[in-house]
Amino acid sequence: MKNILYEIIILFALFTESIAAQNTQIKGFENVDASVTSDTTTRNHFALGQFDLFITSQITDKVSFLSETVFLYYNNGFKIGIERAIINYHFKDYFNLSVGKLYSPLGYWNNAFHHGLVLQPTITRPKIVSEGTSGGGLPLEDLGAQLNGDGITKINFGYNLMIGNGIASTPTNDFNESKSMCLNLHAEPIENLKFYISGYADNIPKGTTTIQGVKTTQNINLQILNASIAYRDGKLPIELIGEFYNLRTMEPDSNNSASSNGYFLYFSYKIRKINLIPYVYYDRLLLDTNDPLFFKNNIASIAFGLRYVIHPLSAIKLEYKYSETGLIKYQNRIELQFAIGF
Amino acid sequence: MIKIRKYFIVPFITLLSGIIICFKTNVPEHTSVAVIISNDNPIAFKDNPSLSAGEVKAYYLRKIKKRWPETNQNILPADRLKTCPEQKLFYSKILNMNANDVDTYFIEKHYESGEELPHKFVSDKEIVDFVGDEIGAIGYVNVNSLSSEAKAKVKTVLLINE
Repeated sequence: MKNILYEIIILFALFTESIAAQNTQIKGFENVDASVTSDTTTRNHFALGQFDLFITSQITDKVSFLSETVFLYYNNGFKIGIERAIINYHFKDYFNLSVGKLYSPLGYWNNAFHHGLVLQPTITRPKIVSEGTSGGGLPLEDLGAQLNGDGITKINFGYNLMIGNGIASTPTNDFNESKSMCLNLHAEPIENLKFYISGYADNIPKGTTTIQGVKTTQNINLQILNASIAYRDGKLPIELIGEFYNLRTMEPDSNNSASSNGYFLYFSYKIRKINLIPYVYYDRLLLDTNDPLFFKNNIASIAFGLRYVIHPLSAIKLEYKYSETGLIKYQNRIELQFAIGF
Repeated sequence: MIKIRKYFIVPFITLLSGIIICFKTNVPEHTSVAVIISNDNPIAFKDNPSLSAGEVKAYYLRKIKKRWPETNQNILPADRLKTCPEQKLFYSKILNMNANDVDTYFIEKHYESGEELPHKFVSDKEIVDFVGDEIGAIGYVNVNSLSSEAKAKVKTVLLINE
Protein backbone atom coordinates (compact mmCIF):
# COMPACT_ATOMS: atom_id res chain seq x y z
CA MET A 1 0.00 0.00 0.00
CA LYS A 2 2.87 2.31 0.94
CA ASN A 3 4.60 1.50 -2.37
CA ILE A 4 1.49 2.33 -4.35
CA LEU A 5 1.21 5.64 -2.50
CA TYR A 6 4.85 6.48 -3.30
CA GLU A 7 4.31 5.55 -6.95
CA ILE A 8 1.22 7.78 -7.13
CA ILE A 9 3.17 10.68 -5.56
CA ILE A 10 6.09 10.19 -7.98
CA LEU A 11 3.73 9.91 -10.98
CA PHE A 12 1.87 13.05 -9.88
CA ALA A 13 5.16 14.92 -9.47
CA LEU A 14 6.30 13.81 -12.95
CA PHE A 15 2.93 14.69 -14.45
CA THR A 16 2.85 18.20 -12.96
CA GLU A 17 6.47 18.76 -13.97
CA SER A 18 5.73 17.74 -17.55
CA ILE A 19 2.71 20.09 -17.61
CA ALA A 20 4.92 22.93 -16.38
CA ALA A 21 7.53 22.13 -19.04
CA GLN A 22 4.83 22.17 -21.71
CA ASN A 23 3.48 25.50 -20.49
CA THR A 24 -0.17 24.47 -20.41
CA GLN A 25 -2.61 27.27 -19.64
CA ILE A 26 -6.21 26.78 -18.62
CA LYS A 27 -8.41 29.82 -19.00
CA GLY A 28 -12.11 30.53 -19.25
CA PHE A 29 -14.69 33.05 -20.32
CA GLU A 30 -18.17 33.79 -19.05
CA ASN A 31 -20.79 36.50 -19.36
CA VAL A 32 -24.09 37.41 -17.74
CA ASP A 33 -26.62 39.41 -19.75
CA ALA A 34 -29.80 41.29 -18.97
CA SER A 35 -32.20 42.42 -21.68
CA VAL A 36 -35.32 44.50 -22.06
CA THR A 37 -37.19 44.14 -25.34
CA SER A 38 -40.26 45.43 -27.11
CA ASP A 39 -40.86 41.98 -28.61
CA THR A 40 -44.01 40.60 -26.95
CA THR A 41 -42.96 36.98 -27.57
CA THR A 42 -39.91 37.40 -25.31
CA ARG A 43 -39.96 38.51 -21.66
CA ASN A 44 -37.40 40.86 -20.16
CA HIS A 45 -34.84 38.57 -18.62
CA PHE A 46 -31.39 37.78 -17.25
CA ALA A 47 -29.36 35.21 -19.17
CA LEU A 48 -26.29 33.14 -18.44
CA GLY A 49 -23.86 33.21 -21.35
CA GLN A 50 -21.76 30.38 -22.69
CA PHE A 51 -19.17 29.04 -20.26
CA ASP A 52 -16.04 28.73 -22.36
CA LEU A 53 -13.16 26.54 -21.18
CA PHE A 54 -10.06 27.56 -23.11
CA ILE A 55 -6.90 25.44 -22.91
CA THR A 56 -3.63 26.01 -24.72
CA SER A 57 -0.38 24.11 -24.49
CA GLN A 58 3.03 24.81 -25.99
CA ILE A 59 4.20 21.22 -26.14
CA THR A 60 7.53 21.85 -27.88
CA ASP A 61 9.00 24.86 -29.65
CA LYS A 62 7.13 23.79 -32.79
CA VAL A 63 4.13 21.80 -31.58
CA SER A 64 1.21 23.45 -29.79
CA PHE A 65 -2.38 22.62 -28.93
CA LEU A 66 -5.51 24.70 -28.45
CA SER A 67 -8.97 23.62 -27.35
CA GLU A 68 -12.18 25.44 -26.62
CA THR A 69 -15.06 23.65 -24.94
CA VAL A 70 -18.34 25.44 -24.49
CA PHE A 71 -21.08 24.65 -21.98
CA LEU A 72 -24.38 26.29 -22.87
CA TYR A 73 -28.07 25.98 -22.15
CA TYR A 74 -30.01 25.06 -25.27
CA ASN A 75 -33.23 23.08 -25.94
CA ASN A 76 -34.09 22.55 -22.26
CA GLY A 77 -30.72 21.34 -21.10
CA PHE A 78 -27.04 22.14 -20.73
CA LYS A 79 -25.07 21.03 -23.77
CA ILE A 80 -21.32 20.59 -24.15
CA GLY A 81 -19.65 21.40 -27.44
CA ILE A 82 -16.04 21.12 -28.50
CA GLU A 83 -15.80 24.26 -30.58
CA ARG A 84 -12.10 24.00 -31.36
CA ALA A 85 -9.48 21.29 -30.89
CA ILE A 86 -6.37 22.14 -32.88
CA ILE A 87 -2.92 20.60 -33.11
CA ASN A 88 -0.44 23.01 -34.68
CA TYR A 89 2.96 22.32 -36.18
CA HIS A 90 4.97 25.47 -36.82
CA PHE A 91 7.49 24.98 -39.61
CA LYS A 92 8.22 28.60 -40.47
CA ASP A 93 6.43 31.94 -40.15
CA TYR A 94 5.14 31.49 -43.68
CA PHE A 95 4.27 27.80 -43.46
CA ASN A 96 2.39 26.12 -40.62
CA LEU A 97 0.05 23.16 -40.39
CA SER A 98 -3.05 22.94 -38.19
CA VAL A 99 -5.27 19.88 -37.93
CA GLY A 100 -8.47 19.33 -36.01
CA LYS A 101 -11.62 21.33 -35.52
CA LEU A 102 -10.99 24.95 -36.42
CA TYR A 103 -12.92 28.13 -37.04
CA SER A 104 -13.31 28.39 -40.81
CA PRO A 105 -10.88 31.05 -42.04
CA LEU A 106 -13.73 33.19 -43.39
CA GLY A 107 -13.35 36.96 -43.07
CA TYR A 108 -12.08 38.67 -39.92
CA TRP A 109 -14.74 38.55 -37.17
CA ASN A 110 -15.19 34.79 -37.18
CA ASN A 111 -11.63 34.12 -36.06
CA ALA A 112 -10.96 37.24 -34.00
CA PHE A 113 -14.09 37.02 -31.79
CA HIS A 114 -16.07 33.95 -31.02
CA HIS A 115 -17.07 32.58 -27.63
CA GLY A 116 -14.94 34.74 -25.32
CA LEU A 117 -17.35 37.68 -25.37
CA VAL A 118 -15.14 39.90 -23.22
CA LEU A 119 -12.95 40.29 -26.30
CA GLN A 120 -15.86 40.92 -28.66
CA PRO A 121 -16.50 44.65 -29.12
CA THR A 122 -20.31 44.29 -29.20
CA ILE A 123 -22.86 42.30 -27.16
CA THR A 124 -24.39 40.45 -30.10
CA ARG A 125 -22.59 39.15 -33.16
CA PRO A 126 -23.47 40.49 -36.60
CA LYS A 127 -26.16 38.20 -38.07
CA ILE A 128 -24.14 36.83 -40.98
CA VAL A 129 -21.40 35.55 -38.63
CA SER A 130 -23.79 34.37 -35.89
CA GLU A 131 -24.20 30.75 -34.86
CA GLY A 132 -26.99 28.86 -36.61
CA THR A 133 -29.05 28.93 -33.40
CA SER A 134 -28.91 32.76 -33.47
CA GLY A 135 -29.94 33.13 -37.10
CA GLY A 136 -26.56 32.81 -38.81
CA GLY A 137 -25.93 30.37 -41.60
CA LEU A 138 -22.23 30.32 -42.41
CA PRO A 139 -20.11 27.23 -41.77
CA LEU A 140 -18.21 28.96 -38.95
CA GLU A 141 -16.32 25.81 -37.94
CA ASP A 142 -14.95 22.88 -39.87
CA LEU A 143 -12.97 19.73 -39.21
CA GLY A 144 -9.91 19.16 -41.35
CA ALA A 145 -6.41 20.41 -42.09
CA GLN A 146 -5.21 23.94 -42.64
CA LEU A 147 -2.00 25.39 -44.05
CA ASN A 148 -1.31 28.95 -42.99
CA GLY A 149 1.39 31.55 -43.02
CA ASP A 150 1.96 35.20 -42.11
CA GLY A 151 4.63 37.86 -42.32
CA ILE A 152 5.30 37.44 -46.03
CA THR A 153 6.91 40.59 -47.43
CA LYS A 154 6.70 44.00 -45.81
CA ILE A 155 2.92 44.22 -46.26
CA ASN A 156 2.55 41.28 -43.85
CA PHE A 157 0.79 39.14 -46.43
CA GLY A 158 -0.73 35.94 -45.07
CA TYR A 159 -2.87 33.04 -46.13
CA ASN A 160 -5.04 30.24 -44.71
CA LEU A 161 -6.00 27.27 -46.86
CA MET A 162 -8.32 24.75 -45.27
CA ILE A 163 -9.67 21.43 -46.50
CA GLY A 164 -12.43 20.01 -44.32
CA ASN A 165 -15.37 17.68 -44.08
CA GLY A 166 -17.80 20.51 -44.72
CA ILE A 167 -21.39 20.99 -43.61
CA ALA A 168 -22.58 17.40 -44.16
CA SER A 169 -20.45 15.82 -41.44
CA THR A 170 -20.04 14.96 -37.79
CA PRO A 171 -16.85 15.31 -35.70
CA THR A 172 -15.96 11.73 -36.62
CA ASN A 173 -17.42 11.23 -40.10
CA ASP A 174 -18.19 12.84 -43.46
CA PHE A 175 -21.48 12.13 -45.24
CA ASN A 176 -20.11 12.71 -48.74
CA GLU A 177 -16.86 12.14 -50.62
CA SER A 178 -16.25 15.74 -51.63
CA LYS A 179 -14.44 18.02 -49.21
CA SER A 180 -15.00 21.66 -48.38
CA MET A 181 -12.31 24.20 -49.35
CA CYS A 182 -11.71 27.56 -47.74
CA LEU A 183 -9.05 30.12 -48.68
CA ASN A 184 -8.32 33.37 -46.86
CA LEU A 185 -5.77 35.90 -48.15
CA HIS A 186 -4.93 38.90 -46.00
CA ALA A 187 -2.45 41.76 -45.80
CA GLU A 188 -1.57 44.65 -43.49
CA PRO A 189 -0.03 47.30 -45.77
CA ILE A 190 -0.35 49.98 -43.07
CA GLU A 191 0.25 49.05 -39.42
CA ASN A 192 -3.00 47.73 -37.86
CA LEU A 193 -5.05 48.22 -41.06
CA LYS A 194 -5.91 44.76 -42.38
CA PHE A 195 -7.61 43.66 -45.58
CA TYR A 196 -9.09 40.20 -46.13
CA ILE A 197 -10.61 38.32 -49.02
CA SER A 198 -11.83 34.78 -48.52
CA GLY A 199 -13.86 32.10 -50.25
CA TYR A 200 -15.49 28.80 -49.36
CA ALA A 201 -16.89 25.96 -51.48
CA ASP A 202 -18.74 22.82 -50.41
CA ASN A 203 -21.10 20.22 -51.83
CA ILE A 204 -24.06 19.49 -49.56
CA PRO A 205 -25.92 16.25 -50.27
CA LYS A 206 -29.69 15.88 -50.19
CA GLY A 207 -31.08 15.25 -46.72
CA THR A 208 -28.41 17.25 -44.84
CA THR A 209 -29.48 19.45 -41.94
CA THR A 210 -27.94 22.88 -42.59
CA ILE A 211 -26.41 25.27 -40.05
CA GLN A 212 -29.85 26.86 -39.48
CA GLY A 213 -31.54 23.48 -39.14
CA VAL A 214 -33.16 23.38 -42.60
CA LYS A 215 -33.27 19.89 -44.16
CA THR A 216 -32.07 20.04 -47.78
CA THR A 217 -34.35 18.46 -50.38
CA GLN A 218 -31.74 18.40 -53.17
CA ASN A 219 -27.97 18.25 -53.66
CA ILE A 220 -26.54 21.78 -53.28
CA ASN A 221 -23.28 23.37 -54.38
CA LEU A 222 -22.42 26.21 -52.02
CA GLN A 223 -19.98 29.04 -52.70
CA ILE A 224 -19.21 31.88 -50.30
CA LEU A 225 -17.21 34.98 -51.17
CA ASN A 226 -16.09 37.55 -48.63
CA ALA A 227 -14.21 40.86 -48.38
CA SER A 228 -13.33 42.45 -45.02
CA ILE A 229 -11.47 45.42 -43.61
CA ALA A 230 -10.35 45.92 -40.00
CA TYR A 231 -8.50 48.70 -38.16
CA ARG A 232 -7.83 48.00 -34.48
CA ASP A 233 -5.10 48.52 -31.84
CA GLY A 234 -3.62 51.41 -33.81
CA LYS A 235 -2.41 54.88 -32.88
CA LEU A 236 -5.73 56.43 -33.87
CA PRO A 237 -8.35 56.05 -31.11
CA ILE A 238 -10.83 54.37 -33.46
CA GLU A 239 -11.85 50.85 -34.41
CA LEU A 240 -13.38 49.97 -37.76
CA ILE A 241 -14.57 46.58 -38.98
CA GLY A 242 -16.52 46.03 -42.19
CA GLU A 243 -17.39 42.73 -43.81
CA PHE A 244 -19.37 41.65 -46.85
CA TYR A 245 -20.46 38.09 -47.67
CA ASN A 246 -22.13 36.68 -50.76
CA LEU A 247 -23.58 33.16 -50.61
CA ARG A 248 -24.39 31.40 -53.88
CA THR A 249 -26.19 28.10 -54.02
CA MET A 250 -26.75 25.92 -57.04
CA GLU A 251 -28.97 22.84 -57.16
CA PRO A 252 -27.53 20.81 -60.08
CA ASP A 253 -30.53 18.49 -60.39
CA SER A 254 -33.06 21.27 -60.89
CA ASN A 255 -30.76 24.09 -62.04
CA ASN A 256 -32.19 26.33 -59.29
CA SER A 257 -29.79 28.93 -58.02
CA ALA A 258 -29.85 31.62 -55.35
CA SER A 259 -27.65 34.48 -54.24
CA SER A 260 -27.89 35.94 -50.71
CA ASN A 261 -25.88 38.75 -49.11
CA GLY A 262 -24.90 39.69 -45.60
CA TYR A 263 -22.83 42.63 -44.46
CA PHE A 264 -22.07 44.78 -41.42
CA LEU A 265 -20.10 47.87 -40.51
CA TYR A 266 -18.80 48.52 -36.98
CA PHE A 267 -17.22 51.78 -35.80
CA SER A 268 -16.04 52.86 -32.36
CA TYR A 269 -14.12 55.68 -30.71
CA LYS A 270 -11.87 54.96 -27.74
CA ILE A 271 -11.92 57.48 -24.89
CA ARG A 272 -8.64 56.15 -23.50
CA LYS A 273 -8.48 58.22 -20.31
CA ILE A 274 -11.61 56.60 -18.89
CA ASN A 275 -11.49 53.29 -20.83
CA LEU A 276 -14.89 53.96 -22.37
CA ILE A 277 -15.66 52.98 -25.95
CA PRO A 278 -18.87 54.24 -27.59
CA TYR A 279 -19.72 52.24 -30.71
CA VAL A 280 -22.24 51.89 -33.49
CA TYR A 281 -22.85 49.07 -35.95
CA TYR A 282 -25.15 48.42 -38.84
CA ASP A 283 -26.05 44.86 -39.76
CA ARG A 284 -27.91 43.52 -42.81
CA LEU A 285 -28.93 40.09 -44.05
CA LEU A 286 -30.63 39.87 -47.45
CA LEU A 287 -31.77 36.37 -48.33
CA ASP A 288 -32.78 35.18 -51.76
CA THR A 289 -36.30 33.75 -51.75
CA ASN A 290 -34.91 30.59 -53.39
CA ASP A 291 -32.12 30.16 -50.81
CA PRO A 292 -32.30 26.54 -49.62
CA LEU A 293 -30.01 26.94 -46.58
CA PHE A 294 -31.84 29.54 -44.47
CA PHE A 295 -35.21 30.08 -42.90
CA LYS A 296 -36.29 33.19 -44.80
CA ASN A 297 -35.76 36.02 -42.36
CA ASN A 298 -34.24 39.20 -43.75
CA ILE A 299 -32.77 41.43 -41.08
CA ALA A 300 -31.71 45.06 -40.89
CA SER A 301 -30.52 46.45 -37.58
CA ILE A 302 -28.59 49.31 -36.10
CA ALA A 303 -27.04 49.26 -32.65
CA PHE A 304 -25.54 51.94 -30.43
CA GLY A 305 -23.46 50.82 -27.49
CA LEU A 306 -21.00 51.68 -24.76
CA ARG A 307 -18.19 49.38 -23.70
CA TYR A 308 -16.45 50.07 -20.39
CA VAL A 309 -13.19 48.16 -20.17
CA ILE A 310 -12.39 47.64 -16.49
CA HIS A 311 -9.47 45.39 -17.43
CA PRO A 312 -8.54 43.64 -20.70
CA LEU A 313 -10.36 40.60 -19.28
CA SER A 314 -13.33 42.36 -17.71
CA ALA A 315 -15.82 44.57 -19.53
CA ILE A 316 -19.34 45.93 -19.14
CA LYS A 317 -21.33 46.66 -22.30
CA LEU A 318 -24.63 48.46 -22.74
CA GLU A 319 -26.31 48.25 -26.15
CA TYR A 320 -29.47 49.57 -27.73
CA LYS A 321 -30.52 47.81 -30.93
CA TYR A 322 -33.30 48.55 -33.38
CA SER A 323 -34.07 45.66 -35.74
CA GLU A 324 -36.47 45.07 -38.57
CA THR A 325 -36.95 41.43 -39.44
CA GLY A 326 -39.14 39.40 -41.75
CA LEU A 327 -40.76 37.59 -38.84
CA ILE A 328 -41.48 40.18 -36.14
CA LYS A 329 -41.47 43.42 -38.16
CA TYR A 330 -39.50 45.60 -35.74
CA GLN A 331 -37.93 45.30 -32.32
CA ASN A 332 -36.31 47.62 -29.79
CA ARG A 333 -33.91 45.95 -27.44
CA ILE A 334 -31.66 47.18 -24.64
CA GLU A 335 -29.06 44.77 -23.40
CA LEU A 336 -26.50 44.89 -20.61
CA GLN A 337 -23.59 42.46 -20.48
CA PHE A 338 -20.90 41.80 -17.90
CA ALA A 339 -18.23 39.68 -19.54
CA ILE A 340 -15.03 38.34 -18.03
CA GLY A 341 -12.07 36.14 -18.80
CA PHE A 342 -10.06 34.37 -16.13
CA MET B 1 24.77 88.58 19.88
CA ILE B 2 27.35 85.92 19.13
CA LYS B 3 25.40 83.40 21.22
CA ILE B 4 22.18 84.18 19.33
CA ARG B 5 23.95 83.68 16.00
CA LYS B 6 25.25 80.30 17.15
CA TYR B 7 21.78 79.28 18.28
CA PHE B 8 20.40 80.20 14.86
CA ILE B 9 23.24 78.96 12.68
CA VAL B 10 23.33 75.40 13.98
CA PRO B 11 19.60 74.64 13.50
CA PHE B 12 19.60 76.57 10.22
CA ILE B 13 22.43 74.46 8.76
CA THR B 14 20.81 71.26 10.06
CA LEU B 15 17.46 72.26 8.52
CA LEU B 16 19.10 73.24 5.22
CA SER B 17 21.05 69.97 4.96
CA GLY B 18 17.85 68.07 5.78
CA ILE B 19 15.97 69.86 3.00
CA ILE B 20 18.81 69.22 0.53
CA ILE B 21 18.93 65.51 1.43
CA CYS B 22 15.14 65.20 1.13
CA PHE B 23 15.12 67.09 -2.15
CA LYS B 24 17.94 64.99 -3.57
CA THR B 25 16.29 61.71 -2.62
CA ASN B 26 12.96 62.86 -4.08
CA VAL B 27 14.42 63.64 -7.49
CA PRO B 28 13.79 60.59 -9.67
CA GLU B 29 16.86 59.16 -11.30
CA HIS B 30 16.73 58.87 -15.07
CA THR B 31 15.80 55.36 -16.09
CA SER B 32 17.73 53.68 -18.87
CA VAL B 33 16.44 50.42 -20.20
CA ALA B 34 18.30 47.77 -22.14
CA VAL B 35 16.43 45.44 -24.48
CA ILE B 36 18.11 42.07 -24.17
CA ILE B 37 18.22 38.73 -25.96
CA SER B 38 20.18 35.57 -25.29
CA ASN B 39 23.88 35.55 -26.13
CA ASP B 40 23.16 32.42 -28.17
CA ASN B 41 20.70 34.27 -30.42
CA PRO B 42 22.74 35.19 -33.51
CA ILE B 43 20.51 38.06 -34.59
CA ALA B 44 22.81 40.66 -33.03
CA PHE B 45 26.51 40.70 -32.24
CA LYS B 46 27.48 40.84 -28.60
CA ASP B 47 26.96 44.27 -27.04
CA ASN B 48 26.20 45.79 -30.40
CA PRO B 49 22.88 47.60 -30.24
CA SER B 50 21.93 46.42 -33.67
CA LEU B 51 18.14 46.41 -33.63
CA SER B 52 16.07 49.51 -34.33
CA ALA B 53 13.10 50.49 -32.14
CA GLY B 54 10.77 49.37 -34.94
CA GLU B 55 12.43 45.96 -35.17
CA VAL B 56 12.28 45.47 -31.39
CA LYS B 57 8.56 46.35 -31.46
CA ALA B 58 7.88 43.92 -34.32
CA TYR B 59 9.76 41.08 -32.59
CA TYR B 60 8.40 41.73 -29.10
CA LEU B 61 4.80 41.92 -30.29
CA ARG B 62 5.43 38.95 -32.64
CA LYS B 63 3.82 41.22 -35.17
CA ILE B 64 5.33 40.25 -38.48
CA LYS B 65 7.74 37.54 -37.34
CA LYS B 66 6.67 34.95 -34.83
CA ARG B 67 9.99 33.13 -35.07
CA TRP B 68 13.55 34.49 -35.13
CA PRO B 69 14.70 34.48 -38.76
CA GLU B 70 18.20 33.09 -38.04
CA THR B 71 17.30 30.26 -35.66
CA ASN B 72 13.61 29.64 -36.51
CA GLN B 73 12.95 29.62 -32.73
CA ASN B 74 9.67 30.82 -31.28
CA ILE B 75 9.94 34.47 -30.14
CA LEU B 76 9.22 34.57 -26.39
CA PRO B 77 8.57 38.07 -25.02
CA ALA B 78 9.46 38.58 -21.34
CA ASP B 79 7.65 41.25 -19.34
CA ARG B 80 7.46 42.62 -15.78
CA LEU B 81 4.55 41.32 -13.70
CA LYS B 82 3.76 44.70 -12.15
CA THR B 83 4.03 48.24 -13.41
CA CYS B 84 7.54 49.68 -12.97
CA PRO B 85 9.48 52.61 -14.50
CA GLU B 86 11.28 50.23 -16.91
CA GLN B 87 7.97 48.83 -18.18
CA LYS B 88 6.47 52.31 -18.59
CA LEU B 89 9.49 53.47 -20.57
CA PHE B 90 9.56 50.36 -22.78
CA TYR B 91 5.81 50.46 -23.49
CA SER B 92 5.71 54.19 -24.24
CA LYS B 93 8.96 54.59 -26.20
CA ILE B 94 9.10 51.30 -28.10
CA LEU B 95 5.61 49.81 -28.26
CA ASN B 96 3.78 53.17 -28.28
CA MET B 97 1.01 51.55 -26.26
CA ASN B 98 -0.30 51.76 -22.70
CA ALA B 99 -0.38 48.77 -20.34
CA ASN B 100 -4.06 47.99 -21.06
CA ASP B 101 -3.50 48.03 -24.83
CA VAL B 102 -0.48 45.72 -24.51
CA ASP B 103 -2.45 43.22 -22.39
CA THR B 104 -5.43 43.35 -24.74
CA TYR B 105 -3.20 42.86 -27.78
CA PHE B 106 -1.58 39.69 -26.40
CA ILE B 107 -4.84 38.28 -24.97
CA GLU B 108 -6.57 38.65 -28.34
CA LYS B 109 -3.72 36.89 -30.14
CA HIS B 110 -3.73 34.17 -27.49
CA TYR B 111 -7.47 33.63 -27.98
CA GLU B 112 -7.33 33.75 -31.78
CA SER B 113 -4.51 31.35 -32.42
CA GLY B 114 -3.27 30.04 -29.06
CA GLU B 115 -0.06 32.09 -29.18
CA GLU B 116 1.74 32.07 -25.85
CA LEU B 117 1.20 35.06 -23.57
CA PRO B 118 4.35 36.97 -22.52
CA HIS B 119 6.26 35.36 -19.66
CA LYS B 120 5.99 37.71 -16.66
CA PHE B 121 8.58 38.19 -13.92
CA VAL B 122 8.84 40.13 -10.69
CA SER B 123 12.44 41.34 -11.08
CA ASP B 124 15.12 42.21 -13.61
CA LYS B 125 17.21 39.28 -12.34
CA GLU B 126 14.45 36.82 -13.25
CA ILE B 127 14.16 38.36 -16.72
CA VAL B 128 17.93 38.11 -17.23
CA ASP B 129 17.88 34.45 -16.14
CA PHE B 130 14.93 33.61 -18.41
CA VAL B 131 16.34 35.43 -21.46
CA GLY B 132 19.75 33.86 -20.83
CA ASP B 133 18.25 30.37 -20.74
CA GLU B 134 15.80 30.72 -23.65
CA ILE B 135 17.41 31.36 -27.03
CA GLY B 136 14.10 32.72 -28.38
CA ALA B 137 13.41 35.16 -25.54
CA ILE B 138 13.43 38.96 -25.71
CA GLY B 139 13.03 41.19 -22.66
CA TYR B 140 13.91 44.53 -21.13
CA VAL B 141 15.75 45.43 -17.91
CA ASN B 142 17.23 48.47 -16.22
CA VAL B 143 20.79 48.94 -17.53
CA ASN B 144 22.03 48.90 -13.92
CA SER B 145 20.87 45.28 -13.66
CA LEU B 146 23.34 44.19 -16.33
CA SER B 147 26.18 42.99 -14.14
CA SER B 148 29.14 41.15 -15.64
CA GLU B 149 27.41 37.92 -14.59
CA ALA B 150 24.29 38.99 -16.51
CA LYS B 151 26.34 40.01 -19.55
CA ALA B 152 27.73 36.49 -19.69
CA LYS B 153 24.16 35.30 -20.49
CA VAL B 154 22.50 38.11 -22.43
CA LYS B 155 23.35 40.85 -24.87
CA THR B 156 21.87 44.29 -25.36
CA VAL B 157 20.24 44.97 -28.70
CA LEU B 158 18.80 48.41 -27.97
CA LEU B 159 19.26 51.08 -25.32
CA ILE B 160 16.32 53.30 -24.36
CA ASN B 161 16.90 56.50 -22.45
CA GLU B 162 14.23 58.53 -20.73
